[in-house]
Amino acid sequence: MKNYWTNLNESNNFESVPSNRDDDASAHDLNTLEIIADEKFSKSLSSRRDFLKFCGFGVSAALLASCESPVQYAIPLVLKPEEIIPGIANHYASTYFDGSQYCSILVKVRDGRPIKIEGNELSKITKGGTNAQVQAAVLNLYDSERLAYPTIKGEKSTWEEIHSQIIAHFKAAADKGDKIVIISSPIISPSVLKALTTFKEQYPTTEVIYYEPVSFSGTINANLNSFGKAVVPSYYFNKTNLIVSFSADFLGTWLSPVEFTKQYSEARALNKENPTMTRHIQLEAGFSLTGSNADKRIRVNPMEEGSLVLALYNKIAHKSGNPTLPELKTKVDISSIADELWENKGKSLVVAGSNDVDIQTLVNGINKFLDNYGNTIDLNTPYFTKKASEDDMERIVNEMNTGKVGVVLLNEVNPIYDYPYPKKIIAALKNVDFTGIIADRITETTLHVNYILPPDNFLESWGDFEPKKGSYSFSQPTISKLFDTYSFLDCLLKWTANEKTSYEYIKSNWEETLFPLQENYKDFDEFWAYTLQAGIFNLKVEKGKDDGKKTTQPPIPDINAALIKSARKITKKIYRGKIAIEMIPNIAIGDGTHANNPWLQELPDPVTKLTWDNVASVSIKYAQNNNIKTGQFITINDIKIPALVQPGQEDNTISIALGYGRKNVGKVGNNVGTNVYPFVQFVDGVKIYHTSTDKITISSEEYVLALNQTHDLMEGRSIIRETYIQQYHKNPASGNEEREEILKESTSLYPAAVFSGHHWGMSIDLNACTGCNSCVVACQAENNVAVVGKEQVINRRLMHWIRLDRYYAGDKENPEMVQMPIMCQQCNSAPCENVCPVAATMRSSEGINQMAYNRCIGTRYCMNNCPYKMRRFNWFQYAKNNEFDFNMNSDLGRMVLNPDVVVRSRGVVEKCSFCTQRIQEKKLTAKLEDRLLKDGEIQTACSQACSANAIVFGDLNDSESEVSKRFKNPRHYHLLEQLHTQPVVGYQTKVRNNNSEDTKKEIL
Amino acid sequence: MNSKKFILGIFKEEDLMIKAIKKIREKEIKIEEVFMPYPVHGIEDIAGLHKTRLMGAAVLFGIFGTALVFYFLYWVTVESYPLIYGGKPLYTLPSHVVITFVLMINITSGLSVISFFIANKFYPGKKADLIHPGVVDDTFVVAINKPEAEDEVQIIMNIFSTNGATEVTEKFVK
Amino acid sequence: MFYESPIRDPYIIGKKSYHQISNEILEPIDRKHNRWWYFILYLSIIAMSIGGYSLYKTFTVGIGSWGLNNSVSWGWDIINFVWWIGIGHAGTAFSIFLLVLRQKWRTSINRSAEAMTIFAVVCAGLYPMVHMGRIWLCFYIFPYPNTRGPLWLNFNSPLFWDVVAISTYVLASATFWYLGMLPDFALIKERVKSKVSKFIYGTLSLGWNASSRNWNRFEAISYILGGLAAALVISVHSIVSMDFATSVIPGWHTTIFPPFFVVGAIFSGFSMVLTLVIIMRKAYHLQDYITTSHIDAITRVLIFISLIMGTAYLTELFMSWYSGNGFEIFTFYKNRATGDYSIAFWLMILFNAILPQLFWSKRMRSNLTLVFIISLCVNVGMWLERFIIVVTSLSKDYLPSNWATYTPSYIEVGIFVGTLGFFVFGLCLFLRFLPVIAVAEVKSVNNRTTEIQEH
Repeated sequence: MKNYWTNLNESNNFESVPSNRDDDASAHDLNTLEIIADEKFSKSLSSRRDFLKFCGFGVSAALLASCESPVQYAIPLVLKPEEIIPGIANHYASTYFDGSQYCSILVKVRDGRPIKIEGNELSKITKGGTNAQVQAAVLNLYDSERLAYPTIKGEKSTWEEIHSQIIAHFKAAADKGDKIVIISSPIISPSVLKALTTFKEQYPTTEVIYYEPVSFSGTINANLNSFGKAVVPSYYFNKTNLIVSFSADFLGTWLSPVEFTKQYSEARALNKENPTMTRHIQLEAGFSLTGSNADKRIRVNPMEEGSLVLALYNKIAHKSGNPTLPELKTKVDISSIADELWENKGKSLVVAGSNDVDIQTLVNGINKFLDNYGNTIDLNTPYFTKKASEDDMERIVNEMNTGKVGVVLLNEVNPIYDYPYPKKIIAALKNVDFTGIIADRITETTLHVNYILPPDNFLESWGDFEPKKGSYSFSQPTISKLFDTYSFLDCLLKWTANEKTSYEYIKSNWEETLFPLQENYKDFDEFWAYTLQAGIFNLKVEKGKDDGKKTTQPPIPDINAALIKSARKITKKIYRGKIAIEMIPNIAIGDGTHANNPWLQELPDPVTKLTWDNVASVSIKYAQNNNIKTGQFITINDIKIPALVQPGQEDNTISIALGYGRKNVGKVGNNVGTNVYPFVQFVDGVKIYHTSTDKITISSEEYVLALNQTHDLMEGRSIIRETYIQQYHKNPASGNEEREEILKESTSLYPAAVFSGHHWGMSIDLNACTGCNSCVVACQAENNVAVVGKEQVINRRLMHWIRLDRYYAGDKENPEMVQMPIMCQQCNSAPCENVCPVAATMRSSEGINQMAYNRCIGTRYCMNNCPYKMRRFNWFQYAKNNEFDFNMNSDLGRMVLNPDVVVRSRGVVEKCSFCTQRIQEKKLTAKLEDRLLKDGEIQTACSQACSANAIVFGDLNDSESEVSKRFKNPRHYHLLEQLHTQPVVGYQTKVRNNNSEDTKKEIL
Repeated sequence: MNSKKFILGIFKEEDLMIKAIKKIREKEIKIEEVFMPYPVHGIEDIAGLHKTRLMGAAVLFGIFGTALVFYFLYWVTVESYPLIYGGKPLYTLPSHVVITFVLMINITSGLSVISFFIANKFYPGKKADLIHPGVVDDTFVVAINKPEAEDEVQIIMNIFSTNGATEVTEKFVK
Repeated sequence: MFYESPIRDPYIIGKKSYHQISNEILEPIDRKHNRWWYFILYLSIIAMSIGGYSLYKTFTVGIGSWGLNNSVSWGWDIINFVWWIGIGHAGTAFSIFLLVLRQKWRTSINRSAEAMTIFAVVCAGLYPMVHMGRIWLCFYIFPYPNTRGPLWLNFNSPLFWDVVAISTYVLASATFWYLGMLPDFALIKERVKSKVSKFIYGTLSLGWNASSRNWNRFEAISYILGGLAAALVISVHSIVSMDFATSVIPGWHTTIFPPFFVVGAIFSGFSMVLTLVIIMRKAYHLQDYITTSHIDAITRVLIFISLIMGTAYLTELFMSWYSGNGFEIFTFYKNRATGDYSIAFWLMILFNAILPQLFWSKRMRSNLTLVFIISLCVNVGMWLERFIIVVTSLSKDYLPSNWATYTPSYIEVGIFVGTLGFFVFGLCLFLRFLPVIAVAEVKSVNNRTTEIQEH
C-alpha cells in the first residue's frame, strides 16, 4: 500500500493522535501519513505551509551561504511540523503538465525535499503511469540554471517594481487602445482561465493566443471542418481490436503517451481472461517507439502519406457504401489493411500523427465510416492540452509589426528557438514597447525581451488542471519556493488587483464552480481535503459519457464536403524535392523544453540508442547509394548534422529529432545536437513537420556519436524469445521450447540454495514492455545513479542500472525490433559473487545479490564475470567533480539525491539492488503494523514506473504472488539460463499478433 | 668445532683431495671438517662427516602447514564469518585446495629456511672465520684434530703431502 | 634421468683454473663500467619515471584514465600482469627443473635467469595492485583479523588464489636466489678491496665458511626450496590461468588453460632468458661460460615448447567446434580468428607456433642474430596471446548489446613502459654488483664433459 491517503476511514482516528508527538519514529509515527491526511480536515492548512516556509528558509539559506562547514546545511525545525518525521517520506498528490504532456503524479518528499515522482494510481487518465520526462521532472526543480529573481532589461529587480511597471504598461496600452497580447503555452487550469477572463475584463484590449512548438491545430481544424467541434477527441486504444496508426507515435510522444501506453498494454495483455490481443499496424517513415511495437510496420514516405490515407479512405468508403473520391495510385497496397479494419468495424481505431488538416479530415472520415466514434473515439470528452493555432500566431506577429500592439507577454514559450522563422518574431518584438516573458531560465527568447518574470516550478506552487473535459487534478507545493519566483496565477491576481493568494483563489473557485456539481460531500472543506489528498476529481456527469454511449452522431453533409475538399487538396499536393525530411520529437527531449535535464539528455533513444545528440536517420539503401557511414556529417539545406544509418527507415526520408540544438538553456543542454525547427513549414495555416529537399550534400567529416549499443543483431542467440499469436494459441510455450531441454540438462555440484523467509523475484513481460525508458529514469532518480556525460557514454561507461537492449530481426530494410529491459539478474548462483576476492558482493538471506560498496576495492572481476554485464564501475569520482558538472556537482542539484541510497565513490562497482531500501522500508512498516507483507506492496522503482505493467516484483516464496504466478506461466524463461546462473529475474516471451504471411522472418 | 689444534691439508685439486681423504679414512683417522670452494658431491660419505636432517624436517613442516591451513579455512568460512557466495554451501572444499597447497609451500619453505639459518648459526654481519682465505676461491682444506701422539701426526702429514697437498700446516682455532 | 651423450661440448670452454674462473666472472664487480652501461641505466630510469607519472595519473584521476569500459573492464593491466608472470617463470624453471633433473649446463645461466625472475615477478605484482579502483584499500586483499566482523575474505576467488600464489612465489624464488649467492658473496668479500664493499658483501654472506657442513645444508635447502618452487612454477601460472578458467566467459572457461598457461609461461620465460643471455655474454665477454651449446640447448627446448603451444592453439579451436556451443564457436572462429583482433591472433600463431620451428635446422640455431630476433618475436607473440585471451573474450561475450571494443590509453602504455624500465634497471644493477654466474657451481662443472658418477 502506497504511503498516501487512499483509505478515507483513516479520517476518524485523527483527533486521537496527540498534537505534540515525540520526534522519534515510533510505531504510530509511521502512520503519520494518515495524520497528514487528517491534517487536511482541520480548518486550515497553515501548519504544513508554515513548515514549507521553515524548511524552505533553511534550504535557501544553505544554498545562498557558501557552505564550508556542514552545520550550515542544517534545517532548523524550530517548531516541528506534525507530519514531518525525519527519515520518513510523505507522498503528495500533484500534477505534471509541461505545456504538452499531462500526467497525474505523486511527489515523494523526504525531509522537505521532493526527491521522486511517482504515478497517481487514482487518476482515471494516467492510471498511475509515468514516462521518462515525468520521472525526470523532479530534477528540473533543482536546476541551477533557474532564474532566482525577476529582471528588467537584464538588471535584477523586485516583484513590486515589476508588477507596478507592468500594470502601468497594461493601463497605458488599454487606454491607448493598443493590444495587450499574451502568447501562452496551453493553459489547462480552470482557475487561471477564470483569472484571465477577469484580466480581460479589466484590460479589454487583451488577446490571449496559444503557441506550441509541436502543434495539433491540424487535428483541431479537421474536427472543426468535419464535426463542427474544434477539439482533440479522446481515444480509447483499450477498446480496440485493431489499431492503424499513420506515423502517430502515441506510445512515445503523441498527445498523451502515458495514458495511451496504459490503454495499449491493457489491450495487448495476454492472459486467461483475455487470450486475444489487439493488432497494431504502423505506417511511418522514421522508426518510432510505437512503430517498434507494431505487429506490422509499413514504411511510408511522409509525402505519400496523404494519398495513402485517401486510398484507405476510399476502400473503407466503398465498403461502407459511401461515395469514393478521386485518388492517386500508391506504392503500398492498403487493401489488406482496409479489409482488416472493416472486419473490426467499431472495434478499430485509425490515428494519424500528421498535423495536416486534410489527412486528419480523411482519418475522421475513415473512423466515422468504421463507426468508431462513440466506441474508440469520443468527441465529447476532448483534450484541453492542445490549443495552439498557427493562424493566431501569424496574425499577432503581423499586428506586432504594424505597431498596434502595446504589450506582449510571453508565458512559458520560446518561439525564437522553436518557431520556424525566429527572425520574424525578433523583428516583431522590436516594434512592441513592452515585452515581458514568464520563463524559468535564460532562453533564446528572453534575450529579446525586456521583462523576465521567473515562475514557480510546478512542485512549488498551487494549481489545478483540467486536461480532459470533466477530469480535474491539483498541483500543490511540496517545497517552499527555492527562489524569488511568482506563479502565473499569482501574477494575474496581482495585475487584477486581487488580494487573494493563488491557493485561496483556486479554493474559492472550486467552491463556486465544482463543489456544486458533485453530491458526495456536503461540506466543502471536506470535499476540498479529500480531493486534494486524492489529487484528482472526476465529474460524475462526465463519467457516464466516458464510454461514449451518448455520443451525438456528427452531421453528415458538411463532413462530406470537407472530405471532398481535403481529397482534392491531397491529390494536388506537390513537393519540390525528392527526399523528405521528417521532424519528430523523441521520448527524452520532446520539444526541447527540458533540454537542460541531464537525466533526459543521457537517456538512450529506444530505437537509435543515441544519447546527447540528435541525428539524421537515413535508410540502409540511401546510405549505400550515397555511401554514408554512421557518424558522417551531411548538410541538409545548409544545416549540418551527423547521419545515422537506421534500419527500417523509409528509403527517401530522413528523420531528425526536434528539441536539440538549444543555444540558451543551460550548461547541460547548450549546443547539444542540432535545431531542425527551421525545417518546419506552414501549409495552409498549419505547421507541417516534414518537408522535402534535394539540397543534401555529404561531407567526409566524421563525428563520434554517443551510442550506448553498437551491435544490433542477436546473432541467432535465444536472448529474446518470441512467438506468433497463432502458435501461441496452439501451444502457450511456443518460442520457449528450449527452456525445457535446458532444465532437463541443468545440474549442479552443490545442493540448490533454499530461502526460508522471502525470496524476491521479478518478472518482465516482453510482450507488454514498449521500451519507453521510464524505468531507466525512475531507477536513476531512486538510486542516485550518476550522469557521466557524452564523453563517457562514447567510452561505453554509461551508469544506468537498467539497460534496454534493442535488437533487429527479419528483413534488413524493414526489420522487426525487439526491446528487452535488463537489470542485475540477482542470480542464485552468481558468477560475480564467486570471484570477488574481498567478499564485497554476496548472497542475502532473501536471495538478493548484495553489494557492499565500502568493502569493494574495484578489481572489476565481478564485472568481467557477469554474463549480463549489468555491473557498473565508478571510473571517476562522479559526485562533486567539476569534470562531471551535472546535478551531483551543485548543492542545489544534490538536493534530489535519495537519502536512503548511498552516493558511490570513485573506484567501486555498483549495480541494481532490487531497490533494497524500499524492501526494507515496507518490511519495517509491516513489522510495526504486526502483519505480513501484502503482494505488490513492495514496488521497485522500475516496476512502479512501468506504465505498461511489464515489470512485476514480488516474493517467489509466496505461491499466490503475481510474480510466482508469472514464473509458472509457460511463457516464462530466464536470460541465458543455459549458463545455470539461476537468475530470479524472469522474462515472458514476446508474442506478435501477425498474419501468417508476415510470420516469415530470418535473422538479419 | 670447539677450540683446538688442527692439522690442515691444503689442496688445489678436488681429485687429489678425495684421494687423500680416502687414504686417511683407511687409517681410521677421523676427519673433523672439509672446506671447499664448491660442493663436492658425496664428500660427507667419503670423509665420514655429519649429514644434515633438514630434508626430514621439511616434510614435517609440510604436514604441519597443510593441517594448519585446512583448519584456518574451515574456521573462517564456517565458524568465524559464514557468507554465501554464488549459491555454494559454506564450506566448499574444491575451491580451498589451491590455497591449501600454496600456503603449505609457503610455510614449509619459510620454516626450512629459518631452520637452515639456525643450523648454520648464520646471521647478518656474522664474522666469517675462514680457515684459509682460499677456501671460497680455489682451495680445498681438510681439517683433522691434531692427535697427541706425534707419530699419528706424522702419518697424517705424510698422507697429505704424498697425495699432492700443496701445503700442510697446523692451525689453532678457538 | 637425462641421457649421457658420449661426446658433449664442454660446459666451459678452455682449461681454466678455479681462480681464473673467479676472476673472469667477478671481473665486472671490480672494474669501472663503460658508458653503455650508464646509457642503458639512464634509459631505464627515464622509462621508470614515465611509468611513475602514469601511476600518479591513475591514482589521482581514477581507473577512468585507462581505456577500459563496462564490457571490457580488464585490459593491459591484466595482460601485462600475466605476461610478466610468464617471464618470471624462466628463472625458476631453469634453475629448478634443471637442478632437479641434474642438468649441469644450467649452472652458467641460472643465476641471471633467477635475477630476471625476481624483477619480472615484481613488475607483475605491481599490476593487480594498481588496477584496483581503490588502491588505498589494497590491504583488504589479505586475510588479517580486523574489526569488521572480522570479515575475512572470499576464498573461492581465484584473484585471492593469485595473491597467495604470487606472494609465495616471490618469497620462495627470492630466498632461493639469495641463498644461492651465499658462497659467492663470501668469495667477493675476499676479493674486494674497499672497506665498505667488504662490509656489505661480508654482511650478505652471513658468515659463510665453506665447510662441508655448510655445503651439505646448502645443498639440502636448495633441494627443498627447489622442489617446492618446482611445484610453485606449475601451480602459480595454473592459478593465474584459473582467473580465466573458472569464469563463465566464452574463451576463458576452458579446462586446457592451466597446462596451456604454464607451458606458455616457460616458453616466454626461456625466450626472454635467451634475449638477455645473448646480450649479456656479448657485453661481459662470458662467451666461454655461456657457450653456443647453452644457447643451442635453449633453442631446442624452445622448439619443443612451441610445438606444445601450437598443439594447444589447435586444441582450443577444435574443442570450441567440437563442443557445439554457439558462444564458444563464435568466440574462437568469428571473434578471434576473423574478428576485430584477427591480426593479433594470426601474429600470435606465427610468432609462437611457426617461427620457432626454424630452430630445427642447426644453421639457424647457430645464427645468434636470428636466434635473438626470434626470441624477441616469441616475447611479442606471448604478449599477443594474453591480449587475445583477455580482450577478445570480454569485448564480445554473451549479449551482443554489450559488445564494445577496447583500446589502451597512453596511461596504460606508460605504466607498461615503466615496468619495462624497472626490469632493465634491476638487471643493470644485478650485472654491476652481483655475481652474474654462480661461481661455485660453475667450478663444480669445470672441465667436465660428463656427469659425475657418485649418484
